[in-house]
Amino acid sequence: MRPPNARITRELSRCAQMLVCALILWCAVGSGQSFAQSADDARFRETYRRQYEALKGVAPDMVVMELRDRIELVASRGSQVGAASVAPRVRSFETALLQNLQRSVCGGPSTSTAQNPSAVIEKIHATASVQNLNMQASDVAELAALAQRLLDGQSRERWCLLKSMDDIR
Amino acid sequence: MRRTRSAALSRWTGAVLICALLCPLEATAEGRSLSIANKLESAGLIDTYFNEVAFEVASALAQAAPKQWRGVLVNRPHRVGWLNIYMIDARRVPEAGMLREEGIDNFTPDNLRAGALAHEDSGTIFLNTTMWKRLAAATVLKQTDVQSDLVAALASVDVMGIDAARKYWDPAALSASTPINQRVGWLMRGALAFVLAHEMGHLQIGRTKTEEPDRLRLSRMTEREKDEARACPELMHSESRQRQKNEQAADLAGVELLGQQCRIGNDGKLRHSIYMLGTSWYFLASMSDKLIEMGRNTDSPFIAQTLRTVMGPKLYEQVVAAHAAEKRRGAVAFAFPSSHPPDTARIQAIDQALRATPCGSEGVESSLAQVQLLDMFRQRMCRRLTGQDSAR
Repeated sequence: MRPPNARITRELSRCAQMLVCALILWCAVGSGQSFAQSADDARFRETYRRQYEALKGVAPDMVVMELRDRIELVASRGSQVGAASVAPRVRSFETALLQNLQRSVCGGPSTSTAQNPSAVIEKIHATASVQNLNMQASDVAELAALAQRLLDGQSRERWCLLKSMDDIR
Repeated sequence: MRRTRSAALSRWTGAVLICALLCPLEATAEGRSLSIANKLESAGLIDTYFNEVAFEVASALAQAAPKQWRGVLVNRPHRVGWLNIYMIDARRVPEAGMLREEGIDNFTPDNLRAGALAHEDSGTIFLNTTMWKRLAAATVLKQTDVQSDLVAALASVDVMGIDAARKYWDPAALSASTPINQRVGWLMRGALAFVLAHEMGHLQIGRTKTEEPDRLRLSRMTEREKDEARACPELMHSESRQRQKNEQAADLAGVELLGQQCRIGNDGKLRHSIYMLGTSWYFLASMSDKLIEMGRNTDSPFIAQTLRTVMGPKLYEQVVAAHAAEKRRGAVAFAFPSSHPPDTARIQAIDQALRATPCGSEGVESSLAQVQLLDMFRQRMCRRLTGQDSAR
């Protein structure tokens, strides 16, 4: 007959084994999440890069057209029975985005958003939040690439004088 | 004996650990489900406008897919596995939307504007009662010959405002037994049947994704060409093409429900005829709204003249001219939305698909010859646009 504390020790060790298993499982889930996170980041960068490259040589007013198409897609997402115009939302978003980018480019020294994708991405996020547009990562990546192309295609002086994106040529 | 006890203890510990990991997920899904109705109710969004009609029509459609839903619930607490329908006053929905915590991030006034919205993951359909009241009022104006055309009737309701037009959509007034009310009832019931069938189609097919190639990019376009490009699938964003295919699939899944109605119940044939009539009415209303938007966004004297003739000069001034867009980007974009196939193509595809169902498509007005002619013009225009670029 084993002493009672040996039995308790055995039970405790089994419980400990189970807990270790649970912890390993937890860690595996955690590392899976961080792996997924880095995969998401890679996908984001790839979407941004592909869109930015695809716009090479495209006239700035055509980039504006693509930007509007993308905003329209986001604003009208959902399984609806028919298409209702989201033109006012598109207009409102592009105006707010232009103002946000102008604040960033024209407010301080000339370095701010020129060839600085993270600053542009931040402006896209900020505008989407204020405009109540629920964006996915791919939307942000594509819009950031479009906005960056627009910034690249205009001189700082010209960009700061823009009244609306209709003036981009 | 001891071994058995300790083995049982281990099994229990294991079971508790598994439950601890899995149960929160179950509870979250159930909690989300429960809070949909509560949130809508407490925000004052639920609008009981002809609930019984929505229940009756949805139940008849659900009978055509007996294994899909356990039953139909209208404005009731949400239940997983059931067809959950909520009738919503979209005017009260916050601009930013709500129900995000319940996993429904597309519940916004914009997304409800077309009349209905489906959420596949939760098996929910939201019907916008404002749109139904507007269409009911316009249908009364047309059926009573106050307005000779549906475009003008819809424009009249917009000028009056939904609340001021109450006498035309009021359930008590529409419930009086008169020949006009009966016709209005048929058209509205049929239009609702198409809308519900389409959204039930979305719930059946789920969120499907097709692989679409990247858009064709033209280096330059005039302002007019930018508008025309909206009619050309190859110049559209790949996600737009994906969505159009998904919407078309939902239409066709809806046709499967509509096309069996003549065989369900004793009044099946009459119901089928009403649903066909209403499907045409829904598309007529949808195209009427697009015509108004086109008028507001184009400088075309032809479109302006046509609308002035249809509406009369006073309504034209109030509804079109007074709301003309600051920057008129053209009319094509409204006839060819990025999210859905054009109405003409939709009704044609619905007509064709219905012909293959047990009940057929008699009563659906798709004017095939005109639709084909329109599509021929579209194809020529797109060929010109894409061909032109290679010469640049």
